[in-house]
Amino acid sequence: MSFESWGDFVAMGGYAAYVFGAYGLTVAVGVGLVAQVWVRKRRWEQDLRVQLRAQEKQP
Amino acid sequence: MWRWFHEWGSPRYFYARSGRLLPYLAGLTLLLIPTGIVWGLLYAPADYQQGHSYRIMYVHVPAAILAQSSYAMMAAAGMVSLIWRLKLADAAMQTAAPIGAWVTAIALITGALWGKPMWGTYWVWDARLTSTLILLFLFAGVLALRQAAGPSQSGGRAAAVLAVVGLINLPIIKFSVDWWFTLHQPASFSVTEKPAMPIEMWAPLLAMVIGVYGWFFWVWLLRLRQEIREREVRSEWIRQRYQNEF
Repeated sequence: MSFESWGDFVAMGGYAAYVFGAYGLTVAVGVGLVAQVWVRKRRWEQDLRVQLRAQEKQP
Repeated sequence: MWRWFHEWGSPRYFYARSGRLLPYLAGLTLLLIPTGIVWGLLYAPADYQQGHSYRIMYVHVPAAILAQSSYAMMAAAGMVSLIWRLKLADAAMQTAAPIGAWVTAIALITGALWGKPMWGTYWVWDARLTSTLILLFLFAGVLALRQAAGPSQSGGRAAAVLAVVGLINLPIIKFSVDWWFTLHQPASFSVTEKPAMPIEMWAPLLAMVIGVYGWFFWVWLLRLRQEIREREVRSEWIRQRYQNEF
């Protein structure tokens, strides 16, 4: 590890807000885009399930 | 060759084949990105001039490289859609645009967060930054045109034309640091030249660059497959597939 302690790591040489802000934003967008498509797929599947059941009930 | 091209142009064939790639892309992403982040944040040595602030490079540089590559890929899909009128190419362009726009926004914001402690300002109207901002507007333009048109083909063509014309911005971004006097430093990473940094610094960067490409193709395939499901919802093959699952 290139830091003397965890305190040094958190301080990030005085640049903590910039460094952790940049990493936080990147990870949030990366995870968010995966989650968004997963939610979209789940909603679409629910709608399709309702449609297919309605079709089955029709004589 | 043409048969292969036509097979991959079929949504049904593409959907079946592309599903096999997803676990590999997810694995590559989940292995390399956490490795790159931990390595870059904790183990890479501090820079002798910039101290620890340079660690922003491990998210900024991969985002900047991916922003340009994803635009090139989106424009290539647009070109195929214009020439061969493949529905799949139009869907590929449409689904790449929002991911590319987000990645460009990350490149700009992380660049601003790096610029503030190093240059004393979040933003300067320098050639590299301005041309990257134009890239974001191009992504937004393609996205807006494609979404405004809905399922109409003419809207898709307009978006594809904009995507192809916007390609001219890529060499401007790439060479802006050579053509003009800019605050932005020259490229940190090149596939053709030996890195100026020691291996302890560029190895995590390489892991991050490969990792974000894995992430991009993973998310893009997930979105493209969902777009195919929605567009082909009335097709027998989609209904049969889901009828068996439900």
